[in-house]
Amino acid sequence: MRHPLCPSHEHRLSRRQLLTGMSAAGAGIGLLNFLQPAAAESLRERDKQVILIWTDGGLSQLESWDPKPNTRFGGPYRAIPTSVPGVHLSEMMPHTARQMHNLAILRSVCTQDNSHSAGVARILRGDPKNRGVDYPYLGSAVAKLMGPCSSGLPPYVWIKPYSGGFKSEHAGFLGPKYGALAFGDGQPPENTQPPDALNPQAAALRDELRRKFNERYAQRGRGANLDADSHVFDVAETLMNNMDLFDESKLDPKDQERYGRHDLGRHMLLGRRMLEAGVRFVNVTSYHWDSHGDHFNACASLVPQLDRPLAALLEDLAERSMLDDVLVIVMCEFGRTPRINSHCGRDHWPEAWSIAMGGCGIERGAVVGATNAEGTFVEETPHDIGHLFHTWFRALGIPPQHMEYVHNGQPLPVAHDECHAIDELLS
Amino acid sequence: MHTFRLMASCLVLTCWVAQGIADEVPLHKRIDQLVASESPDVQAASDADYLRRASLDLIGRIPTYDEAKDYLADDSADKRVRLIDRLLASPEHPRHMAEAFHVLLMERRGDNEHWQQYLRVSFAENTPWDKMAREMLAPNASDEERHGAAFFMTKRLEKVGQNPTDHPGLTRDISRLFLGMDLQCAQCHDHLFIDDYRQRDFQGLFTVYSSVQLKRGAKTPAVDVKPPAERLSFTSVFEATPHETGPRVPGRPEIPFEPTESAPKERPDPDPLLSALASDLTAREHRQFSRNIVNRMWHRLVGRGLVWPLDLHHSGNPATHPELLELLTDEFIAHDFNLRWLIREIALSHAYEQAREKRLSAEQTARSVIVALGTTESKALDERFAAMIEVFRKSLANEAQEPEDGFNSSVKGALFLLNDAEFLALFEKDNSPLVQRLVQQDDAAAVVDELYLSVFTRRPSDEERAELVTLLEDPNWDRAEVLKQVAWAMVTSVEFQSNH
Repeated sequence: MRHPLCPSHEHRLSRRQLLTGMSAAGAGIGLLNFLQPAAAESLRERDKQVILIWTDGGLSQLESWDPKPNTRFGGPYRAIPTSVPGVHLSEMMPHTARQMHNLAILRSVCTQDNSHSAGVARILRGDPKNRGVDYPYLGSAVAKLMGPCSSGLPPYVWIKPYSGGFKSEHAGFLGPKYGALAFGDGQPPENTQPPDALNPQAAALRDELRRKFNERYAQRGRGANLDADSHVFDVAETLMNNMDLFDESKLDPKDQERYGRHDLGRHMLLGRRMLEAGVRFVNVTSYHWDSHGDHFNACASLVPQLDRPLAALLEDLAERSMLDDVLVIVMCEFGRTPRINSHCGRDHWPEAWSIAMGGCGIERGAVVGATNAEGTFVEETPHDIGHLFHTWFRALGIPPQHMEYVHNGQPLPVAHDECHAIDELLS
Repeated sequence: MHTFRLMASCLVLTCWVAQGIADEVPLHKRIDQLVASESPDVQAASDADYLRRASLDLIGRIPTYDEAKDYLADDSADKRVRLIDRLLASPEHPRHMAEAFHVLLMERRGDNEHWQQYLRVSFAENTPWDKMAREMLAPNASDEERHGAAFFMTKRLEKVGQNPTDHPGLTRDISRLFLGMDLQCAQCHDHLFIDDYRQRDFQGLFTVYSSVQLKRGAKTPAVDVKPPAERLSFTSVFEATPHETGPRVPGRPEIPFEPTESAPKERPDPDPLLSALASDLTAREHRQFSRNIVNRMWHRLVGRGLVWPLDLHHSGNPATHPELLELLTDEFIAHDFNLRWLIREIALSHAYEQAREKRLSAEQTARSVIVALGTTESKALDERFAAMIEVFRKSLANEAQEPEDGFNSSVKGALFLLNDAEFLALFEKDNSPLVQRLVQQDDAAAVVDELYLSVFTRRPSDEERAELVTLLEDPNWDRAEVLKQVAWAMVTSVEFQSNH
């Protein structure tokens, strides 16, 4: 379809074009016609990044960000003071409490879906208005809007237990290119290790030969696909050259202690290293938070698994002067019910919960919004996930007037058009 | 006055005679008349290019070393026509068509043995496309050979997690694949910027296809229909006015159909509601049905759709060559929806000689790699293909529901070609008759010539030959190792990995 705003299949940007700045303004940003050259350049220079920690199943806000001790639904755990005067967290999070000054919490989250199957996707997509297309998940959106970092590493990686691989469904209408590269249990994807039998000389020879054959082919006036082909081989090579990231023997034992040797600890440490290596968006997922029964024992076991590595991560980012450029988000599909059910559990509660964030563009130590005394409903203004998407895109420096995709000629707002950024969360 | 009448009659007579003469001009020549050379730079294909292209397009693989040698040595003037006819007559042609249409129609959602049987039988018999469409859209469970056609719908009716059955998705795919119209954006309102796509177009199809369900307890793909009890009422999300529709193919009048209360079990097979719609959709007068498939076949061979995207035909997106598209449509209908005939005519045109580069499917890549590396006997080739194809598909095929109508280089694919153990094993001399043979060949120049003919389906230039001979004769390298890496570099190069 010939539409001036519509990038056709033939206009894929190659990494070479990206780095040499050959293509039009917006190279590497993906906004093409929308972004002014200066803005594009500055976004790329500062290399803003994101790490999203996803507690799948639903972390209880009452046992973490918004404790209500000694109330009807408060449960057995107490609240503790934090490094920010007047702000309390659940006693389950002593380490994070000491890092509260590097965090902000939105306690007035009120979202629409109480189911896992649909709710997860809705949150991760920012629950935009239905326009008949599959919106991308946050990681794919950032990969598209901001492109890869100058390291050349894939822009969207997903560190998770169980299976890995290329998860292109996250990208929705953006297309598989913006999908997640998942590292199952922190392992690299298949085929990143050349076979043992291939010695370095043979490897060098075959690479050289392949490039030569491609050059010859290009000289004959062919090669519609040459740029895209060399781009993917470049990315593959970059991955292969960064296999150190997955080598646990290269880790500092002190770090391993601080983050913890449990899955989430190891994965968040890997996440930090991915950020250091230059991945634009790192998603770390932890499962099994859906405690409908025996919830308080579950929390005793699970919340510390988040608390320790999260605090270590914030500490490390601050120490490395990365906190101004890395947006940290801790979130899930919904909160948990204040009401304790007959299995000593809490059920799903999207009506009033909390999301924590910190780092790039976020006001340090801010607590925005509140729930009522028992934590059952939001006091005053509720905020949906769309508000947060606006907030985060603003924190990352994406100009408000450029918050639009163009898909087959159809303009699509990047975040829910009836929501807006929450100023009190922004620094 | 009389002179005028005389002239008019002469004109009419001339036209009538001209039409008669035109009927005898083959379609491919008429195509050539309509398609002026795209640009002076676009060269007609060399012999080698043409052979490789035709083999890939018609039998799904590159030519073997021997096929290449024979063809390039052949001097006859009509060798291209004979090549096309030989390929179309080969049993590998219907197999390739079945593979290609499986990907086209199912878009990697999954597979089924009855569906494969259906495709095999259909293409072996060169079943007309209108009949195929009716078999898929109004499946007949009692047709032993063709009941698997129901898989087109049944796969799309399977529930995913807790989500409801995706009837809108099924409706959309039918409009995309059989009509070349993506009506997804017309479900809830008239399309926002494509004036031709109205909400009632979507809903007219939806009222039929939302009544289709998976047949309970069926061991093979089969559907039940619970027809609507009344006309479908719908409202745009932008307006309050309710509208109604019965079954209707976009652009055509409503199909008279009595709403009924009959239970699915009592209904005949194929279902009358489905048959009524399928008949109308595939009618000769319904040109869009034919226009869609001829455009897709043109794209498949020439590398560019006359209308692009393939599923976005509308008056604001005209064909690059509207007269040509209408000619192809006319002739396809006149020849009773004969796909093989159409493919032959396109393949014989100059436009095909100037075809653009096209992507290789995972299937074409797998077969071609096996052939390039020296396994050319048909049974051995089939066996190797069966053993390897899943590995190739895993890394080179698109994700499910992603049409494979253009290039799609992926990091996954690159990593596969670089490091996959099974793929790399193909280059070991124990697995590659070519490498095995060439290791023993002392004459380096002959080695290079055979490599090029077997892998690239052409002869090397003097420069290319000289460069590789130097490498092969380099005493620092083990001959077997060099051969392996050269073969690998050739197979993973863009020249091999594309259909040019």
